[in-house]
This record gives sequence, C-alpha cells and structure tokens, in this order.
Amino acid sequence: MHWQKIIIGGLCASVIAGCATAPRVQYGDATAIETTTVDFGSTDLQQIASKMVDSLLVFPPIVQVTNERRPVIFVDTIKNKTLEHIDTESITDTIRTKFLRSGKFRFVDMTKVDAVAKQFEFQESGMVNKSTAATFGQQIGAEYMLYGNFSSIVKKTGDVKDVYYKFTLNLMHLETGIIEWADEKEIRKISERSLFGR
Amino acid sequence: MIMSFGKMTRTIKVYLCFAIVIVAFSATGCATSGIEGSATVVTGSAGQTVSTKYVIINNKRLARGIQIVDIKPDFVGDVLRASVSVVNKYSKTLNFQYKFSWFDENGREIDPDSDAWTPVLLYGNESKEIQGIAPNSSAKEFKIKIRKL
Repeated sequence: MHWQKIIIGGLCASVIAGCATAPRVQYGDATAIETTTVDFGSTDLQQIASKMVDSLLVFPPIVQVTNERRPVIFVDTIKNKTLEHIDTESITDTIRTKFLRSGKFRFVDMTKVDAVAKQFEFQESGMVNKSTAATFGQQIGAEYMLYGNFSSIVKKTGDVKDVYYKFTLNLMHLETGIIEWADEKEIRKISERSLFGR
Repeated sequence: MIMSFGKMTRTIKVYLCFAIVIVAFSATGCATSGIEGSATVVTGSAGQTVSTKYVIINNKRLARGIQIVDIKPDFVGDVLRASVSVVNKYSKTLNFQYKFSWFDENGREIDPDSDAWTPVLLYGNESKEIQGIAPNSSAKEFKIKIRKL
C-alpha cells in the first residue's frame, strides 16, 4: 500500500510539474511534412510549386523555346476559389523563384510598375546625374502570362473530413492568345477522428 | 530500498511490467533512418551518357516493405531528370515520404534543402515511378532519400 502511494504520488507530481512550465520551443525542419490540420499548409504549397515547375521545365515545346533563348514571363493572379484564406501570391512567389533559379526564364514584375515609375520620375527630376540615370522606355515586354485557379471540394461527416485541392496553372502566349502549357496538381487531405486515439 | 523481484508485492510487479512495455513501445517508434538511392551521370569518351547507381539501406525494417527497383537518370534538354521505380512488397497500403538532392559535377550540393519532403501512398504490391527534375542545368548527380511517414 505504501509503495503504491509513492508511485501514484510521483506520477501526479510529474504531470503537475509539466503543466506549470512554459511550452517548449524548438526549430523544426522547413521542408518536413506538416499534417497539423486539413487546411492548406506548407507541404501543400511546396508540392504544388514543385510539380508546376518540374512540369513546365520538361514540356517539349517549352524546352524547344528555352534551348534558343530565355522567354520573358509575367505572373498574373491565381484566383482563390476555396473557402479558406490562402495567400496565392505566396505560391506564385515560390514558383517564380524556382523558375528564375533554373536560369531558363526571365520575369517582369507587374506589382512594381508604380514604384519603378516613381524612381524614373525622381531620376529625371534633375537631382540625378544624367549619365547615370536609367533611360526611359527601355523595359522589355513580357511574352507570356502565367495565371491559374485554386479550388477545393470539402466533404464532411461526423468523424471524417475530406478536403480535395486542385491547383491549375496556365502559360499563355500574349501575342497569339494561345495557352502553350497548362498543368494541375491535385491534393487530398483526410482528417479522421477515431475512438481510441491514434 | 532495493528489493528483489520476488519480495515485491503483486501490484508493484504489474506496475513495473507496464512501465517496461510502455518504454519498449515508445522506443520502436523512434527510428527515422531510411533508404537512399543515388545516381551520377557522366559523359563518356564517345559522347554517350554513362550512369553509376547505388542504393544504401539504413533502415532494414523499411527496406522490407519498400524496394527501389530501378534508378533511371536522363536529360531533358540539358536538365537532369531522375526516375526512381519503387515497389511496395507488402499487401497493405504504405505511406512514406521522399526527397531529392541534386549535386553538380564536383559533387557539391545545389540549393541544399530547396526540395521538400513529399508524401507518397503506395497501395499493396503497387509499383510507382517517382520523378524529379533538377533545379538547374548544372546538376550531374542526384540522391533520393526515402523515409517512413
């Protein structure tokens, strides 16, 4: 009896001690698979970016173009048609970074047009040495536009929640209006509540 | 203070057995080692591509379920493409994760940690081809790491 009380007392003391301390913080692996909830997560972003970039890099008509030169692309928006708040610009940022690092494409940034115009205004205001000022009207025009859609289908019963994501990306040639490449990435995440914990 | 096992009361023995079983179970879930497959591509004297491949098994338990059947590197344009065939030797569904690492001709890793771990599902006895594309055209060697999910 005496020994039982000591063991139970020891267990209770360790549990209470755990509750009283601050939560333990540590660095994790940014490339690790994250399955905290069924919502859109870092692993989904990484999978989508990876598939889109790999697909475009090896598409035969695009390989033909990139063998001769580096085409100029601009990124339009990805329409978020899911019910969650998802920063789709974050996905396109990752995709654009990977494309740029492949050395096969060049990009123009439409979100920076105002900032660039302001800088040109300043450089032509007379404050900047004319020989070092950037020449107006020399920007390269984009040839292709990257745009897409992100949708989801959510199904829920008492214990199971099933979320299906579909990310579609298209590459359109501006002059002809032809979609030269398109691909989609599907992701399914399932959350199940079982009776006996894990 | 220290008692022999025989002299302990029955309830103490039961508690001790539980504790040993719990510790044993938690220890089995700790292994994070996996399987690695690797291939290097060089251009031979006659201009043909020669590839050397090898597989390292760090986790025998995982290797009983997942087998790397073939590693096929090839070039698309000047970009290295890795195709790794894996097969599930069990009849139940297996969940695992993989990651590619890319190296240039000097053996130095290109963009370390830019590839993320990707989850894969293999149904019972199913074979699947996992593909990866190098981040740029300087890659001449790749490594695939496979781990339990």
